[in-house]
Amino acid sequence: MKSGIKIKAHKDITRFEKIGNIPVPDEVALCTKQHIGKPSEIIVKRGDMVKKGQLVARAAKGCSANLHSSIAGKVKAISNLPSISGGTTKSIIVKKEGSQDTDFMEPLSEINAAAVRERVKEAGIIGMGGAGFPTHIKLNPPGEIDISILNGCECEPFLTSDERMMIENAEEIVGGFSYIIKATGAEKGIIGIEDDKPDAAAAMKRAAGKMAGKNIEVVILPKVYPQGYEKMLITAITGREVPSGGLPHDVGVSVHNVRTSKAVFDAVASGRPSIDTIVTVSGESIINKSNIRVPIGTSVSNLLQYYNIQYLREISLISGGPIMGEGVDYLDMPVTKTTTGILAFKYKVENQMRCIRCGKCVDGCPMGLVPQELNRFFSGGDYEKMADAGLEECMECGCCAYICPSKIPLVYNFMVAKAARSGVK
Amino acid sequence: MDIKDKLKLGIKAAPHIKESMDMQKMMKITMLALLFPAAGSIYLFGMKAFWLILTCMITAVLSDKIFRKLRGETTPDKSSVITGVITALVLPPSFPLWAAALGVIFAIVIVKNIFGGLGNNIFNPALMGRAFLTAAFPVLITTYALIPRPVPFLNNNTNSSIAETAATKAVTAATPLSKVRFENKNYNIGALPYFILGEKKGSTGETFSLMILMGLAVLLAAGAADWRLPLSYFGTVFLFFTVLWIVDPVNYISPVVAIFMGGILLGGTYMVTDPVTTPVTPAGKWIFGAGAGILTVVIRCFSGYPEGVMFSILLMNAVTPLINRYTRPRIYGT
Repeated sequence: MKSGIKIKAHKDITRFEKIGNIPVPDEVALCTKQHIGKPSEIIVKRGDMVKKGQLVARAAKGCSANLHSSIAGKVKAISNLPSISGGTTKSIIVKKEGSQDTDFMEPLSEINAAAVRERVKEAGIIGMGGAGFPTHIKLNPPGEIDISILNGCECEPFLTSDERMMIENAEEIVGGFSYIIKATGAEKGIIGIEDDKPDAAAAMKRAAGKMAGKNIEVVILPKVYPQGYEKMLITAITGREVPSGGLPHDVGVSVHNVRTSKAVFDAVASGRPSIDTIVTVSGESIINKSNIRVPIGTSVSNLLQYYNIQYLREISLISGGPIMGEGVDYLDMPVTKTTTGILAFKYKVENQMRCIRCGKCVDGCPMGLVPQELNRFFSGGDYEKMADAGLEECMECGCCAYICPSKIPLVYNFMVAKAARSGVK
Repeated sequence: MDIKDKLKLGIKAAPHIKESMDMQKMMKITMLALLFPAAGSIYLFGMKAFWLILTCMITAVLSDKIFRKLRGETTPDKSSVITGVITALVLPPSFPLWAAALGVIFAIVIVKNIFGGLGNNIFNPALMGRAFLTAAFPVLITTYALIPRPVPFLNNNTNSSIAETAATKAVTAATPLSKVRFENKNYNIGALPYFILGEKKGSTGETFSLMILMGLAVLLAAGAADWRLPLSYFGTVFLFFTVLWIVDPVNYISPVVAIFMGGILLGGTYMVTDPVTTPVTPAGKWIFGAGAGILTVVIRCFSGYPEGVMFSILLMNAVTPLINRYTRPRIYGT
């Protein structure tokens, strides 16, 4: 990758410790739209008893995903709850009750492309790296795929959940990847890992070595943000460039995250649906930082009660990484399948200064845009001129706003402009 | 106690962490870097230089404050101090204070603020201020009446190229550059220590080359200046001088000496690196530095002017919007 930015990683605090567990929460809120696409259709009603792993909402027609209960208990309510991306979404609230009986599927006996895809769909697996695109659709691309890529970059600072999973669950991840390769019909699989994770890379190499004949290779990439972005990763590994407005399958590539791969393995090999995820709880305001396995639907406040938090009166809470993650303004927000981290920082108000045209944003932009110019058009309210200058190519990685010495919220301004333009259409 | 009663959430747009370098820090580092040539000039020229720098600084801050107040502008802007100091450094040390103040007011009010204030000016304010003074007071700006303090451990009389300067410097206002231009003088490598340690006539801040190099080191080490700009500028100047010198070593000065003459170091360190008036694109930065470098040598060697640093940078400032337009990086996937 020719551009991008160097960011202090802040990972050492959590990368060396084993993934922990929390007690089964008293209550979970299962949001029916954790993925991109249509909300899942609820198939339970208030008062129903559900088991852990039981299907509670079915994928709608088209782009959607199944949803399972992450704990055993009773459906307490079905209500509209605020979701992280704004607005409200229908959610199923399950209250813990009785013994935690599971209701998993049978392990898949015959491994073939169609069976894997079907199982992935049944298990409700979505892209767990953050995008949340239903995986079974991604496993069935319209074009020919020759390379499947497994994304183990985790380029966001502070987050180490992918890294811990690669160290602790390398064989499952590589196993899941072999199913993904089979389902996509790719000839080979490449696992991309940034060079600041030697332990994870070694574990994955060992695991890949054991899968002889599956044509899986581990590639070590330089640590630079945003290496883990789909387009950047594809170019770094294959040299191919996804055309403007296109998707990875246009260049014969399919990219999946390591945690998705682990979920695929669990679904295929042990029939376990996607009901929990590994979350990095970190940031300058968290004292006892760690990685922890969390049932989907656990509220952030429930999760944080196991942590000591500093600057109690004034923190900003983030779901995801510190560069791309979204601010949480609602402590009951449930963890979803795409939550990779919960970070807490001291809340600071920044003074925005005037642009001094230093050009650092231009150096930083991995897409080759000129954020300084885009922002000039933005200040003038000229969104169409922004579009001519490549606004829609912006993938909102945030390099420009991170590096800006005048603290101008560049990427935010571009999101505003994009939203305004899509509203016009 | 429930965690919800204890936590107060503030919400911000992503990214939630940012690079620690900010504009105020950059300005502080630039000020620190300017201290070197400023201190050097006071050592060489005494209190005259001190009063010149102080006058320019105070005039800059006051005129900026007053103008921005009249305009009702509230955004903080501490760049006027830098503009003031740099303006002082590019004027002769004997320059009258009232005229210097006039140049500074022109730089701050017309060149910076009328064009929209910090971040919007097209021309480097300090250099434009000097250009204004060049037009308004052509005699004063070429009068170098003050003699720099001699370097203690260099014996002036043994060096043939400089000895003559020592003998005549009391009566002539000529700088080494004007001697090169108008008296066909050539300086050999023996003159180098004098040029580096400041025993040459010239603008207040440009004589003590060693101090400027230290300022440059501070700017680059602290990350307050983009290294591509000074590198391309100095590199181009050096290359061009080398070519001329190889072709005609009798009439052209050795590149090693030439780069320490006049305002090349000062301009390349503090004006070529001005973010506001130079391109934002990576390719543009290289083009800017190379362009200014070529123009500097062309003006020095092939025009009626002995010095070309000011005009070359101002000319490149003028074409910076154009450079930006034609050096946009290629957008990924297109």
